[in-house]
Amino acid sequence: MRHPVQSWPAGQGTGRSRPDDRSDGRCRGNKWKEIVFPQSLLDSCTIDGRIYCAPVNIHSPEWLWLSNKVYEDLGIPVPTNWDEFVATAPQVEAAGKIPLALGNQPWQSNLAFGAMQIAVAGLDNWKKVNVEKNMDVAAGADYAKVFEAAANARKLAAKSTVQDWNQATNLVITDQAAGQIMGDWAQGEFQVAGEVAGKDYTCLPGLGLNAYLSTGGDAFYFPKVDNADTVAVQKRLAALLVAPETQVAFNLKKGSLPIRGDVDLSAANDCMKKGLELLAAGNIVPSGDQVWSPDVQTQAGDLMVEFWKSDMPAEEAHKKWVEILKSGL
Amino acid sequence: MEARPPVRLFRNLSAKIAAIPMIVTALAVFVGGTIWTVVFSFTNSKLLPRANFIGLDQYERLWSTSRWLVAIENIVIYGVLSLIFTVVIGFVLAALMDQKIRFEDTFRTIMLYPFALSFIVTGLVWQWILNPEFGIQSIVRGLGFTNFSFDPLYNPDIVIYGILIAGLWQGTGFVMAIMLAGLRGIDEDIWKAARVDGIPAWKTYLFIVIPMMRPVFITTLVIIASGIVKLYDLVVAQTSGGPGNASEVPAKYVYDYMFLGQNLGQGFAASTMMLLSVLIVLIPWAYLEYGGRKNG
Amino acid sequence: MASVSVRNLVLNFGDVAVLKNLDLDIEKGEFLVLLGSSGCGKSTLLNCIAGLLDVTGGQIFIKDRNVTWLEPKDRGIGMVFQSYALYPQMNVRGNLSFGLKNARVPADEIERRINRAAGILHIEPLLDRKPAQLSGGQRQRVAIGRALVRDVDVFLFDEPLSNLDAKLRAELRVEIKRLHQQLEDTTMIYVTHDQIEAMTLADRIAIMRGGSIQQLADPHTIYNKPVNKYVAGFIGSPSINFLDGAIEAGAAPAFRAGDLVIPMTRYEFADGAAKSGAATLGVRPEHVMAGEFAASQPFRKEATVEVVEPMGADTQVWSRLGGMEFRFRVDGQTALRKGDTIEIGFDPARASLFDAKSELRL
Repeated sequence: MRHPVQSWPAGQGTGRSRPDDRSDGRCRGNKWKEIVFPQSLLDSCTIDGRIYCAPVNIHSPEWLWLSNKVYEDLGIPVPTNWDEFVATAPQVEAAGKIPLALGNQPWQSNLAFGAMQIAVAGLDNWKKVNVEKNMDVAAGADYAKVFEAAANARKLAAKSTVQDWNQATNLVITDQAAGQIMGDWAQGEFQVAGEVAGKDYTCLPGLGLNAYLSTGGDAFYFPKVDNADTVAVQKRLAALLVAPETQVAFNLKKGSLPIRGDVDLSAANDCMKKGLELLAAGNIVPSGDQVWSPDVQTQAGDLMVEFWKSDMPAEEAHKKWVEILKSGL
Repeated sequence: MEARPPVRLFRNLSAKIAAIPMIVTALAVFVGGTIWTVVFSFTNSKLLPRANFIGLDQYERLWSTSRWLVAIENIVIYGVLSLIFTVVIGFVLAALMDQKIRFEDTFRTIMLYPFALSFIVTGLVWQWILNPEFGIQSIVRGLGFTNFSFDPLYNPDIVIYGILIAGLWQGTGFVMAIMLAGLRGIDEDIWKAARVDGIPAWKTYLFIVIPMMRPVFITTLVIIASGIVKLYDLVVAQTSGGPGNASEVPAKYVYDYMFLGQNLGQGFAASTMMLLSVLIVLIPWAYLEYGGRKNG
Repeated sequence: MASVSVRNLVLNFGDVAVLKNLDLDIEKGEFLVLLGSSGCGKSTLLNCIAGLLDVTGGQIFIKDRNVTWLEPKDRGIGMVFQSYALYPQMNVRGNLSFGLKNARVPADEIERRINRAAGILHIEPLLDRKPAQLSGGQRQRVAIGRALVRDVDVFLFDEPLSNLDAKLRAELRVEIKRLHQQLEDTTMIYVTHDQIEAMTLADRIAIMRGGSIQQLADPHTIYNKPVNKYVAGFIGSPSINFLDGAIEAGAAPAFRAGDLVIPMTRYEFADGAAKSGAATLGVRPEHVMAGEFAASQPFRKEATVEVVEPMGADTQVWSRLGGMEFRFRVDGQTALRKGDTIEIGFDPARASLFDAKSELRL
């Protein structure tokens, strides 16, 4: 079977493809199956035992980004989790700052809600609802807390009037807002602004509560070509993409996490270290198991959108949410 | 031998044959598609249409969905105001243009320019103009009026008016062009007669010229109305339906549920309601317009 | 007392002079026709008098009041347009009363005026109809009615009959003439390009060309003594014959064109006496007699028939005189064919002589 994309035997690794390829030596003997972590990334790039794309990063949406300066100015320690963040919010507000920056576009509040589900209710509860479809858990007290957290976030974000996610991130960077719930791509904005993780800003994966990360990400695909020289170059590029130095340098800029755990940690920043630790500990959100239909997802999204911009009580939103889930059973 | 008249059906046969593809297309695509949509709005079709009829469930769900209710409310507000303002502003601009002014071509081009832009571009431009951090609000504040506040796109109560502004900006130029053509079609002697009669210009417009432009107004109304019903891209570009769901519109609901939600039945039910609302307006109007004439 | 006076009127559209220093006096109750081909400025002059166009220079007086810068409604005029210009969505009554209502004329007065106008114009049965339900002639009656109810001293007609077919035009022409006789104090200024209308209606005709008046005179004078070659050629149908030649002055002045010699002894020269020089002789076809009728004419000549155009009552015959094209009319019953020879004759005293260069009447 011929694939429209170039592929290599998965067990072989790209490094040993060309003996004369000196520049690539460091990869020699390394097999991608051994280095790429988590493995699911490579599985997504493998078909019929052959690899056709090179994963380059891991993106996860479950992060809370905080401006250190806002808290320094207030003379209080930077919160270490969502609960502390909520508790200090009145002080932030009193100082004329926006506690939580949130773009107006609906997907951003949906993302925040998604992050809260795991962070607040915990992974077990999350699994029970989303994988086992246990409606009692969905309607239960743990999930009620999720909606309370969302109601808090709604209150804290009331003064945030920006539209795009990066405008919201900019509010944090310029210390007009204390925090933002956003995917790790937000870190790219901090990088460009010259801010240093841990010093100028703080990141709390899983909102500092139940820290689990999703493992989506980007990959380079290699189209199938017949020209041997091009194939050679493709292999070099593929090897370069997954090389540890490339991984650290690239992902620091992009704000994402490396696809391998064995990178040089001295080059990594605070947030990348935190992320890698979580990955190493296996705190990974199961992906591909969520089988809610698009219809249910859209309705749930609509509910969130409405909830976020109205004064709908948390209990009512919770009730409606459970009904929507039930309609998809 | 007596010549018999040819069978009517076969007169102009080639012309009729040539028209067949268009007739078939019109019937199959427009009428057929419409009927098909209405029929399948009574099913629980998800990603693909399935003839599993579930009665009025889709409609019950539709009318108990707050997003749909917001969308209906928005389209009514937008529709009524857009209709009124586009026609009024368009006509006033056209009337001003018709005063034999200098540089008329230039003005006409400027006015018509927004119409050449897509709704997406218009929406993005106005998203920035109405953005409090970069747009009008910040400019006016920069002039010293620090309490000035103008952020319609960020206030759920008035967001639809923010969209209306962009819609008017885009649409009035075109309406002006149509109206101008209509005004130019008015016999100049009418104006002279009115002047000799001592009728002020505004009265001449109101009581003589506008009634004479009835066909132009009907064309304009049809064009504006179709633009209102299909309002979608402007909202997507300006607010994506936000803040919250405050600027949702029916066309967006249909799209989102048909393609994002993969719930064809729901999307069809919503689009059937859109069709119904168009018919509710159209049928009485057509009856008055065409039915009344036979009696009169 | 002049009813309408125009003094030194100038109108320019940009660089184009449309009206050139025009003077015109119209008596009270007079019917004046402005006649000319399109673009001569006749409608423009009328619009200036009406106040629909701002003049560049000069003054306009109506009833000795300077109205140059007054609005049309304040000039005491009523106007009738070629395209009727009725308000289409109002019925006839509405058309007649709209202006009056706007001027806050009392309702009973409006009613009185409408009834009077309707009576004069015979449109009583039409009062509740809309313009679309009226024929062209009826519409124009209503348009005249709209001017009539304004109770004004001056009526302005801008080619009112041009949109009507020939039969209706003739009918309405008489109607307008009757109207003028009925309203004897009302001055009427009437623009047309139709010389029949001009001849039949006018007390005086002003023939316009290129923004100035060529001749202002009663129809008889215009027809018989045109001041220049243009007026001579414009008035008369079929149009006048022009023969190019020269005047030989002396005791017995004559017009000579090649072999053709026409004695002009009884012709009344404008200067009192003939002067030698190049000239054009204008002879109206209807003044030429042919066959047995030619015998009584002072000047006679044999002519060869080239083309025959039977028109029913009479027949137009094309031939040549002195080598130049020459038309004349014979009785419709005369049997003439191409190539026939016939004697023709006319009275040179009734002809017109024009200077070849200035084209003015000699």
